[in-house]
Amino acid sequence: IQFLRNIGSLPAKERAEAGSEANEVKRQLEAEYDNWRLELEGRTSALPKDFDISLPGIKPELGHLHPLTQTVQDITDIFERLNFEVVEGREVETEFYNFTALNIPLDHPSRDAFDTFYTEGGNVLRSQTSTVQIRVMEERKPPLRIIAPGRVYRPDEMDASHSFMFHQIEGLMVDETTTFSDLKGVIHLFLKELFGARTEVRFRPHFFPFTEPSAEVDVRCFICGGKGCSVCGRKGWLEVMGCGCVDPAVFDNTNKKTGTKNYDPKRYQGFAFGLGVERICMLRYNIHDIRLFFENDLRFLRQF
Amino acid sequence: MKVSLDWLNDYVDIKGLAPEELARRLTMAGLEVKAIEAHDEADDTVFEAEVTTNRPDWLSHIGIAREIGAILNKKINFPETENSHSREPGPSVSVDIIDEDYCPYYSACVLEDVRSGETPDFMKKRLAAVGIRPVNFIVDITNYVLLELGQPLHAFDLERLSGNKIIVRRAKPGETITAINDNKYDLTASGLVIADESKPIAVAGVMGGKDSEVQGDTKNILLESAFFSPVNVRITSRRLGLSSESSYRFERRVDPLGVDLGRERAIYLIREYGSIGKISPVFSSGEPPYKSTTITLDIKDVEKSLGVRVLAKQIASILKSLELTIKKQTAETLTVKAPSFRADLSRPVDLVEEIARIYGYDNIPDTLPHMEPIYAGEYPAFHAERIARECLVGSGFNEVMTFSLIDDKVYESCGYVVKDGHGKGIDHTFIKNPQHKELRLMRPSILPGLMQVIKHNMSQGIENIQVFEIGACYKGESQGSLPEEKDKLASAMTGVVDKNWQSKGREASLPELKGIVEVMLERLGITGFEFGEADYWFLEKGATVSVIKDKETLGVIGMCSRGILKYYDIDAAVIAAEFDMNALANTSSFERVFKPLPRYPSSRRDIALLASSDVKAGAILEYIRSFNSKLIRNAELFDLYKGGQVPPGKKSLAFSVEFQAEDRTLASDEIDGLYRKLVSGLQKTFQVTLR
Repeated sequence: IQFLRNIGSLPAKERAEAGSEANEVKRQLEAEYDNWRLELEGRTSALPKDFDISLPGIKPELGHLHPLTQTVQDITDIFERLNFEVVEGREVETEFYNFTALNIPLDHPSRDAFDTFYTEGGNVLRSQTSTVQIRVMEERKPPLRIIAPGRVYRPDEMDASHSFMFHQIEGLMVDETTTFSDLKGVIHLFLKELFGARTEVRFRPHFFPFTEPSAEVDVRCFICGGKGCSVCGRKGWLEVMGCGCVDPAVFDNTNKKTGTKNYDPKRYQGFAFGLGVERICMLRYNIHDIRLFFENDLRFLRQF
Repeated sequence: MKVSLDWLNDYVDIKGLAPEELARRLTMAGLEVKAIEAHDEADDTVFEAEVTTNRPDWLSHIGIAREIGAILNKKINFPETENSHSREPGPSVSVDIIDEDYCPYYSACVLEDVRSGETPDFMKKRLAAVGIRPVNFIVDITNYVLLELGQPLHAFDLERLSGNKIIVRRAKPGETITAINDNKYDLTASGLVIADESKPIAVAGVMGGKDSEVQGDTKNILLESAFFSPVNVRITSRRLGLSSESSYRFERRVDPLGVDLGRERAIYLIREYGSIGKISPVFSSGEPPYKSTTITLDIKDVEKSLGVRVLAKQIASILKSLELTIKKQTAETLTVKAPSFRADLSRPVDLVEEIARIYGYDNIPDTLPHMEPIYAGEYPAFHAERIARECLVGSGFNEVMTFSLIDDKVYESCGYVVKDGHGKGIDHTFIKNPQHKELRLMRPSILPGLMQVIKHNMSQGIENIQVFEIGACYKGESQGSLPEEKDKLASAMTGVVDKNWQSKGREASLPELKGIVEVMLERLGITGFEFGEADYWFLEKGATVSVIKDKETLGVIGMCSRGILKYYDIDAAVIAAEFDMNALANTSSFERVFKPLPRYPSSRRDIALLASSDVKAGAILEYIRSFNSKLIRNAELFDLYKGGQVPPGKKSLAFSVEFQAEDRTLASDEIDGLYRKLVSGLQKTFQVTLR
């Protein structure tokens, strides 16, 4: 500093050079001073030289929701965005709600697809969650947009693709104008939201006693891209759900039960759809054995 | 149903179509082709098609040919059934139908002096292609007609029948029959049989008797073709545990007008490839149950249902191609009659489906519906479940899903008798036809399921396990009424938590799970609850607490009893809890009212006590917390130990107490005074000494 002050006494030529050199020294001295002061105040790191940044992180034990719960939530989220309401209902039902109300006659081969467990009291374990829809229709007037997830039961031999207990999600929409094209649009939208925007969807005519027209819905197999593989049974398409326009007989049965004309088939139309949660989950995550869901091995659950 | 393309080609021209394309067209029309097999040796391709129960007309090659004709707009060549051969009265056979409901129409012909040929090659090949094994000339022809026209037929050896009457009746008690499959069946009174004057000769619509089976050299035959009631054939078939290609078709309803056609076709084929000496006139009883239904369709209803406008011309053309006859057509309506093989068409909505599928589902555009706004709030129960799941997952618990059906032996191991309310009974529901013999009790509790999960994971070498489940539990049915279903939340833990390279972790303990439950209750907004002593079948007496609010038990937490651990063969402590999820949801509250932050600082003082071992720490904590509600904000236990310097029979407890007032900063001496009073109170109440 003394030097800088006296810089004026130097000859002009040497002034600039001496000045910059002096400023440089001044800067260095100031930096050293600052560092030295910070260290004295304890504000720089006083780390040991062998501080190990590679020490493994201490991971908190966070649990996992069951993959089926996650799948149900993903699916119900999509429908809630479409202003559908999630409802639940009982699992042990009467034959009326499981068959008669759904237009499934008790002594007909179409009953075979809905084989059921019977309780000793003569009730049944529901084989589809559409029982919930019937009960809601008995309690509410249209318009209606509901989605019912829940456990269902079918006496199937347990193997890699069948379980006697599994989960379904069924939906129902009833309004004054609800057409087959509306059904296609909603299902299309849902499947694209679930599987991705590039999902290809096709509707195939099928038969269900409670819908007419009925359809099964396939998505292009995402394992083989449609060429055919063991997952899609060489068809190139994966069946993911069933749907259809509500058969007027179902509305008539409801009206008869409530003694009203709340669901007048001349005034209201509706569509319904249903899917198996395990199947969707297995397709999404490439899980090959349905029994894994109920075995609950932590090495399985922790993957999701 | 297996379909031979070579065979189909007899009735509709499909030669120019690649099998894959034909399969695709059929699939997109509702007849799903699941597999395509090339039969190169036979120069044929076979489809495996899934026929839905509403389309029994597809259970025959002519039925599928008709469908192809409708989809591809092609002509159908119906097989030859004209038998202009004169009928000569032969042995007179009469038919007596006792139960018309079960058999509305029965017909038969007597064929005498039949010379069986060799079953023609094309027939052998086609039967083999669709999986029917050859038997003899006559039987092969009846099978051929079955697969060709969908009409089941049966040929009886006339010489083996007694008398000249065919009686269609219900079985008499005690009657039996040995069927052509060599098995003997006890016939029940509700089953329909075909009988001669002395005994049953066939289970009607299901299978013929071995005794009157036609052999290769049988000369005189009674050829039966009938319509049996679908419901009765189904009931009989199920009761006897016996089914056949015939019963499969009768159950689904055969074409009433196909009964006569089937019989005549068989006679035609026998004559064509063999010979018949004399053909009798037809013996029959009853009428083919064909009610010609007319359906009137409102044309605008098609657009109303499908959301796409299909022109009246196209509608008419589609229905015509499906062999419906148009009786009347106006600008607004179309009145049609359905053919006899389409019993599934009886209402306008059935026609709408036909129009849609032939028009092509994928030709119908996608639209989004007009949606009348509906307030769809979230069920409070769902919100509570969601929060409960979040708390448990956040605390390190993994959600599991276990079966709703359990083995009731676990209850017996705890001294409960699962019977009709006798003994220490449990209100229960049992399954009559369980898939697995042991899994027949509808679970009243989720805890047995959780123990199985723990057992399974331990056997895989996993020792630290924390699991939970939320699901339905079931009570009993009284007099067949529906059982009450309640949602429960159960959790269980075992092993060590928080073990890592920095910390040895903690052994799972009752306070561990209790704390997690407390946090969950807090998040659910449940306040004003108390812990009490409890007795729960699964948990160890003396190590179980209940959570009670307003005199209602919300749930229990405790250590699994030694008996349960022994039953599951688990060699570690397991802490478990089970809560009534519905009750939790009902008492939860998600409304929050802001409480202003404290304006004045708090002060902390510690109290270290030496207490006798049997003094309850919770009681001391509760005493401190409620000692002065205005000035003592909170207290926590921060240390507990026995042994070492602590005399036997005693334990050391240390509490931190937070002093704070709402309206002022507490002065040191004020706190000191209150502290002394507190200590003195503790000494008097719990006989503790200050350390």
